[in-house]
Amino acid sequence: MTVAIPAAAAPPRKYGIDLSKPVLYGFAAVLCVLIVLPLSWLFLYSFTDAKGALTLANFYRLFTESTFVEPLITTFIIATTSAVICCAVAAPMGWLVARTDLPFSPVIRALVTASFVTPPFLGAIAWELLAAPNSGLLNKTFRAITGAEQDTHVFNIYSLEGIIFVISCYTFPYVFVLVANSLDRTPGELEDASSILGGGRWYTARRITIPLVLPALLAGALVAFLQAMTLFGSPAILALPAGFHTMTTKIWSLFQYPPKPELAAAASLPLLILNTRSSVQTRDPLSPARASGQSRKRGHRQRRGVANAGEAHAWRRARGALPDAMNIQAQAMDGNAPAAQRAGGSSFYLAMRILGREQREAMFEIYAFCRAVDDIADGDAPRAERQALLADWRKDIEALYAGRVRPGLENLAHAAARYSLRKENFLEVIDGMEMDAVEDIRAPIGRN
Amino acid sequence: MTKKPSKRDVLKGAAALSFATFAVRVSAAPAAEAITPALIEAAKKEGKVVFYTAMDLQFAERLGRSFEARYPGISARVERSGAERVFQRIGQEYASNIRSVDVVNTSDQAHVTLWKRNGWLAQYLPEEVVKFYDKKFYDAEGFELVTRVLVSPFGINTDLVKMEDAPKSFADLLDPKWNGKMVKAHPAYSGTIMNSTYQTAQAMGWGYFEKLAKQNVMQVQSATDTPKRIALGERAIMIDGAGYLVIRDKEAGKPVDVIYPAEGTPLATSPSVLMKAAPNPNAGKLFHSWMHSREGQQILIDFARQYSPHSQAVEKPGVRKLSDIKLMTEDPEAIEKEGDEVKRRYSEIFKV
Repeated sequence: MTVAIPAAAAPPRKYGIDLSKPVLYGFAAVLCVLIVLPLSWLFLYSFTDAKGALTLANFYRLFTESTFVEPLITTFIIATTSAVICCAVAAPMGWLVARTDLPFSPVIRALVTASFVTPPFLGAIAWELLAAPNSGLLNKTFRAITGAEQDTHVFNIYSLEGIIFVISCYTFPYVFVLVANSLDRTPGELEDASSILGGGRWYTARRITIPLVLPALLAGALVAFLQAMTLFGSPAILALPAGFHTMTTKIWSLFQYPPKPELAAAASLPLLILNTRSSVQTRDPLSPARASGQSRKRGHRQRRGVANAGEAHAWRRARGALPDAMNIQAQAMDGNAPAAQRAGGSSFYLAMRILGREQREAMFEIYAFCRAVDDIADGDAPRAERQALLADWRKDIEALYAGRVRPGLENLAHAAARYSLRKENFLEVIDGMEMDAVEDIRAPIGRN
Repeated sequence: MTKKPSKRDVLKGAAALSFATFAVRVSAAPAAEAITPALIEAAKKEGKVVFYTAMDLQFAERLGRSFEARYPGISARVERSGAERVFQRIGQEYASNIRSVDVVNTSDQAHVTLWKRNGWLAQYLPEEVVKFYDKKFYDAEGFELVTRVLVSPFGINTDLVKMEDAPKSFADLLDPKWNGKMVKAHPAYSGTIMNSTYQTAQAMGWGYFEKLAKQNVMQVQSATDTPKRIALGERAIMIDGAGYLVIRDKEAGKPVDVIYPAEGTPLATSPSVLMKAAPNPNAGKLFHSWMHSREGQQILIDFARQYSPHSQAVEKPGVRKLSDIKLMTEDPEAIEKEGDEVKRRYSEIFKV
């Protein structure tokens, strides 16, 4: 623990007191009080009867009486469905906001945050006003327009579907934030590269984008599931009128006079266990996300490139981020080791593993090329020298396409041939670099 | 989670204690007492009265101010809180030998039963109560007086259902035409509704609720929720709930009205007591007496729109007097014993 470090690093004092132990024990004690103590009480309560004697009767009732089993099933249905809906809605939304130049995307982010911080019960009340079958504004409007009978309604918020809807409304931000952040942090150049290699938009999404955000998506789904499962605010408003209980409203009802804390404790244990187990599992899918998410700061600035990949400027736009994203050593171009090995150690390597071996190697070769020319453009050499080096590269590429491959570029030549890469694209990259080399100071707008 | 003594524990402990201490207690009906100049004089010497109550704050404060205006020189300290909280507070105070409260009003009859058992209550019968209250609204031994009566009638939204078509009895509610149009509060969340549900079950049998459950009745938590639902037009008929709120809504111009079912209207009484160890015994007596006099009760009707047990108090035009309403029978002791069973059966029948 970090607290120990200052104490350990401090020069030994003759009469000093080593504070590390008390601090550590203090922390442990606080943790005990905050977590272990209430949990132990919960366990203890769940195994005792009203008189305090040990018993399993609470659990027996919990799993046999229909008034407990039904809420358990209902809660499970609500949580699962909400999680699926959240993913279906929030993942595309996250992608749109993070990866495309969707208009008003800052507004969308702000609105999602707003629904994030809206207390669920408040949302439930709002939807009550809107979609209650008889008094709801939407249904009233519908009847006014269609002249329908008094009892007809389009929406009924007091229903299982209604509750799932309202819960999803205030749970999807979890998925959105995770997916959008994950996309923000993973360089969009992967997708660029896929497009360069001839991958269509859908192919790119399927082979690159989705595998990249999958860990975040799964984590989001789990969080949404748990959130929907343990949510009390919305069900407290909607469940009783809808004619059923969720686990949380059932537990609440057990605290009404005369309270039955022992049954409430037993009823809360399944939720607790499920929660803890899922949280532990969440860590696994999350870890690759963390690894690949070691983002380059410049990455996000360039992320919109992919949606505009068809435009001529896309190349220049993307080039700034490429080398950074890859973390490939400059000398990689000179080495004879396979490109994958040269890129090894980079966090990027991990992300690339989702591609097929051949595609992967091809992409590394292209990146290596980009990196090499970028290093020239950004280098400290005098401008004339940089321009000369870039001119050399131009010759190399021309030669490569003419069938005279410069030693060291065999792999690149192979990749170009295998994926029918166009010479113009390589030259465009060099064009972009030359712009840098020609004029060092550019307005920011020139870059993006 | 810390283990808090439940009300049940408190009841048990207190009961055991009281049996030990007051095993032998002879009580007889006290003579009815009028508000005499001597009582007023003695009360003025004490200078204040302390009143704990579970009634709504606005009404409680108005009652206090009116008392102060009526008897200058005596200040009324009104402490308003939920019935449970009032109960806990008095228990804690008495446990630490603090005697600060003179008069208490609660909405839970069970609390009074316990205080009486503990020997904490004074016996006092104001003259007006004996003269103008129905015997079921005060304790013959003078331990408690009913201050207000909460009735739980039907309510209807008159935009959705015409008065002449409206259901007039519990039996009428089983008509298929009301399917999906009714709202009822849940006994697990509200003392008033526990009372009304129990009384209805006693009068109609549990089989009645089984049939009612097939009518697709919307369930809400509290007795104050049902009046809101019909006022909004979310449901046409309220099966139970705070009748006075429907009356208030009606007087505020909302399209609602009350119906007193033919089989009888469920009720919940809210009693007040004078403490034996009251620090201001005379002021306490005066306040207790005045609150149940025509004057105090008229404030109840005029401002809280609740029902008064005082037969001389004047209802507003268009509102039926309590004495003209066929009421069901309250049985707080049975509810104390069978409350859990009522909740269980109710949950089974209505699936919530």
